Amino acid sequence: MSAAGHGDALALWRGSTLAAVLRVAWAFVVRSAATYASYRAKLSLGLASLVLSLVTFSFVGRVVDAAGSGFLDRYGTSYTSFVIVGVIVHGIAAAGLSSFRATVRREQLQGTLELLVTSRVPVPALLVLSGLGELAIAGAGGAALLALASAVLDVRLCLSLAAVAAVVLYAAAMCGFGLVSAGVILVSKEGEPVSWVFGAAAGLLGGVYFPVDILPPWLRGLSALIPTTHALRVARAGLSGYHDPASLVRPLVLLGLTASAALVAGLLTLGWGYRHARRAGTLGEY
Amino acid sequence: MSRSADAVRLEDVRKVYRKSGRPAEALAPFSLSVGAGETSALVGPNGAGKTTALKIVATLVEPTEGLAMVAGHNVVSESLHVRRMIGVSLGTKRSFYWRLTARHNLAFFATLENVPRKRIALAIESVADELGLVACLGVPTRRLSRGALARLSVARAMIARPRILVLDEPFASVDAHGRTLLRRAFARWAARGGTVLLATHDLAEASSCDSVVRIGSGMRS
Repeated sequence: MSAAGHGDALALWRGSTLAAVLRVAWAFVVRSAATYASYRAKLSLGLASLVLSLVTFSFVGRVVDAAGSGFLDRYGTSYTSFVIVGVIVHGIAAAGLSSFRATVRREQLQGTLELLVTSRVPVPALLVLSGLGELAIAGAGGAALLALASAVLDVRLCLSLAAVAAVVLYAAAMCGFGLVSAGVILVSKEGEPVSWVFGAAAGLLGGVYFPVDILPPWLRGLSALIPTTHALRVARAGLSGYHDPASLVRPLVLLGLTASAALVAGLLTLGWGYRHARRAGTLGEY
Repeated sequence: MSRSADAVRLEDVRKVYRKSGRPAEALAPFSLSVGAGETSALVGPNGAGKTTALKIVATLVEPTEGLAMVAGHNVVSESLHVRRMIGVSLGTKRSFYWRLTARHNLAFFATLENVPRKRIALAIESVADELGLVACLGVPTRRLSRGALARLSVARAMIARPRILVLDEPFASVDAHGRTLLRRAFARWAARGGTVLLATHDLAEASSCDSVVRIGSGMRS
């Protein structure tokens, strides 16, 4: 699409009503949910995995808490709460990172990508909305795990605006990186480094499973550069109710800036990938 | 910007891909004009560029050279306007959501085509009835025969009643009765002022169209 083509797309998109956009978004969510639910074994195993992971974290939590290392004192929480919040928040954001790439790849493989992009929805918006289904499923799974943990384990959580804001901004940032990844996949078809780098970095440096305080100083510096660290800090503090609200402002601002930059970069990369594939005639290839 | 009465107009459109750094011509300079209310068939040997020409019309591929207009809109610079005018069937076997029923697939694509929610059920029943698919609507698409999938693909292209149908091999794998239904549907479509541009290997089916364009030779009969 040329620059003029983009102008047309934006003009028509502006003319769309919010209701029309929501309708398309909802259609993608329903499609993903119906497809997911049709794989009964996958659905059952997914639910079983939720329960098993809770039991595992509970036992690991007992060991860590009994050891009394003191690493978690500043969080005012048990290890079970610490790791469950980390896994859920990171899980939702990781879905943002992977869902767009995975959706584009699946549409390529099942031969529906070309049909989607010949529809009346502007292509960048279409590709963004198409990833929402998996994101919604991940969000529902995370909420279910959190509810289960609160009900069954000794995980006391208080809903806080700061925690919700941290999760939303973190997920938005990861969605931005996910859109970059989807743009690369439109061209490369298989293999892109973006999600691998962010997935691996978040697990090691973001404090999903352990506090970043135990990292050596040079790694702690790197840890401060990724959004996972700030998002988990705010989410844990917010959900435990053990924090000074003023201390959460800076990480939230950082998350907001990261999310904005990542979303802009994601949309630009997605547009580039689409234009490249259209010129090369490889949109439907996989 | 020039406007044309032609539903589809290609002028010296050419497509060159780069394969391993070398240029490969997928479509030699090709011109075509199809009017509103007309059915037109592209015929030609394998590799002549029929699918490439249709994909250019469908805004999926940018031409390397030449001018491609659909309902007066340039397929490169006004692609979204073009997409509002067309319904596309690419004839690939796997082009549906396999786990969903035919009805759910049609409803999903109808939503993307901005068919009002209250009219979707009626639109589905209407195209299914026209193409003999009523019994297939509740069946997951993975269980449908190739012939039914081919007709379902055409039904999806028709669901929003676009002005122009762009169809790649719509008769492939379709039995005699199904072909009759498709031919009738295309004739009705044209009689209502719609345009049908299709590619086919089947000269007998092509001859049922108002015009036949031989791709690769630029001949029109």
